[in-house]
Amino acid sequence: MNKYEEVELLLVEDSEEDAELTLRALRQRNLVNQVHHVQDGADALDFLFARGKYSHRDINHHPKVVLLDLKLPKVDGLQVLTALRADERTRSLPIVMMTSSKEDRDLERAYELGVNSYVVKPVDFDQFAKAVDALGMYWTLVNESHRP
Amino acid sequence: MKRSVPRAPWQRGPVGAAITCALVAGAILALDKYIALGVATGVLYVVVVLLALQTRRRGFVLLVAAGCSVLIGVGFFVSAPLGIPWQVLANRSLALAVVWVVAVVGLRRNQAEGRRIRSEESLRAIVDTAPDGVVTFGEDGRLLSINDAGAALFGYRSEEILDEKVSRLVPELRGTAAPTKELEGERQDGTTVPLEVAIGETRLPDGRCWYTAIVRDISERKRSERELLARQRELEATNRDLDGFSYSVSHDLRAPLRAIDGFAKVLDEEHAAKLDQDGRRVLGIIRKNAGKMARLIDDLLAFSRLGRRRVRSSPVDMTELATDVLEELRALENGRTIEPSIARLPQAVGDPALLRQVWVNLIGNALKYTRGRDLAVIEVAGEHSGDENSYVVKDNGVGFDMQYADKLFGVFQRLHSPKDFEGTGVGLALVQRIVVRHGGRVWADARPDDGASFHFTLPTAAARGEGVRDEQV
Repeated sequence: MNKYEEVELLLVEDSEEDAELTLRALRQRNLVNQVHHVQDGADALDFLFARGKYSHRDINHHPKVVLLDLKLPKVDGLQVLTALRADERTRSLPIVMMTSSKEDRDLERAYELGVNSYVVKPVDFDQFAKAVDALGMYWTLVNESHRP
Repeated sequence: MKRSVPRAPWQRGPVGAAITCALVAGAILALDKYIALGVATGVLYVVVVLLALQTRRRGFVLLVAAGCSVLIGVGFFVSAPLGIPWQVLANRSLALAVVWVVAVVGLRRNQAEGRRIRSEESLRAIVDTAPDGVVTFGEDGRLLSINDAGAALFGYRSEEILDEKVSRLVPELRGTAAPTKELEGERQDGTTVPLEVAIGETRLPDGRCWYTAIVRDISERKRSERELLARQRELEATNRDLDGFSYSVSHDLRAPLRAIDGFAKVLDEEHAAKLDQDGRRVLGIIRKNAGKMARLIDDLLAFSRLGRRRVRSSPVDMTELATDVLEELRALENGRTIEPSIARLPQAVGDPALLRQVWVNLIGNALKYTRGRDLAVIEVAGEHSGDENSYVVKDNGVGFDMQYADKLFGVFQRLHSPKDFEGTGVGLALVQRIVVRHGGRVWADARPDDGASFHFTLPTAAARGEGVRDEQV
């Protein structure tokens, strides 16, 4: 079986360190078994649309939630968001934006583009874990993902 | 501008006039006696009255008219009878009437002319003393008159420029009435001068047009405008720089900070066993400082962001706002006995979010610095006076030494050790900045260990001269 079929959370994060901390938090809570980590926006889109190096993936198997960083190389967070919302197949995919910026224009823009929620990466690890924690629990337990 | 005109003998003062009139009257009397003229004689006395009218002295004219009347009567007896007595009488009466009619009409006209001349003189005085240039010209563009200010503005003497075309002074000037607009003028020395010009049109009875142009030199104003624009551009550039800087601080500084704290925690949680007690203490210090730095960054960013925000202007219910904030902050202070009181506060006009921040900082401080008290008493009150509303937050906390009061509102200034009370020292600086930009003042009063009161004022709507006005904080 295609190992990508079991992916429940797609983590799009360019910082190795931020990714490591996020993954630790998720693992600690035993939330998600299968997390796939990509490091830029282009890879994220390739994964979700099953193209490029992921063309053998079954496009109908979406992850339950996408954790998307705002600042990314190649294709940045807002661009990824726009692309996902523009396509019918991914329009209702739960997406949570992650960023260290509280700057208003980023927040407004992301909501305008259809993000489900927005989380500011806090510095204190506890809060950081709690934020991811809450997302993880919410999306995997509460939200019945709309599968086309 | 005086005119020198040759003066006739009867215009040379009262004595001259009297002598002339007497002479002419005498001549007419002689005529009367020796030549039978009848009515004509009386009519000749009109000449004397006309002469008298030239002196423009009412009294003299009346005297002369009376005198001539007498002479007409005298002539009746002196001259040779010329026909039927009642006819002669009628003639003389007619002559008398004519003399008086001329005198009265003449006097009236003199009066009217006098008024006209005075009015002309006062208008002339206005034009001559006006600081702006007043230029009149005809349809063909030729200058009819120019006042001193106008001539000086263009660098000419009035004689030099009269009769030249007005386009020599202001090339774009045409003979049409026009509302005020900005044009360029040309001085005698060839330099240009920015002008504000308004043209009025006067239609003469014969159909021709006269134009009056009021010309104002606005070089000073133009210079100020340019300076203001330059300064504005500078400010905008600085603001853009600051924006970029803040954004960079926000993202780039926080990322490594997250890693420091995050991995220190990992160390703590997963590898603590490998560390001895001192090792764990050191780790604690690392984490504590990472946290402190994060708060500093947050506070600095908030301070700078508020600094670039536009201050909105709307009515704010201060009582409701202060109560809300107090409730919110109080909820975080578990297990404490707090006795708050909020009196009715005068409504304010300003930016609700910014004013909320003021309350958060002041009430927050009151709560913080009363932590050592068994019973924390916090009072919020306000007063309205014509020009400004004043508000105060009083507490019974540790207070501070008034000696250092001027440091209170400085950025990162603290009068207590962070060991005793946490904080970055930006809160009051923020309060001051917000209040000052609303047009108010802020000050504090305290005694060590005997509580503190923080006051601030805000101008009332009336004092602000209301209309919604946006201001940079």
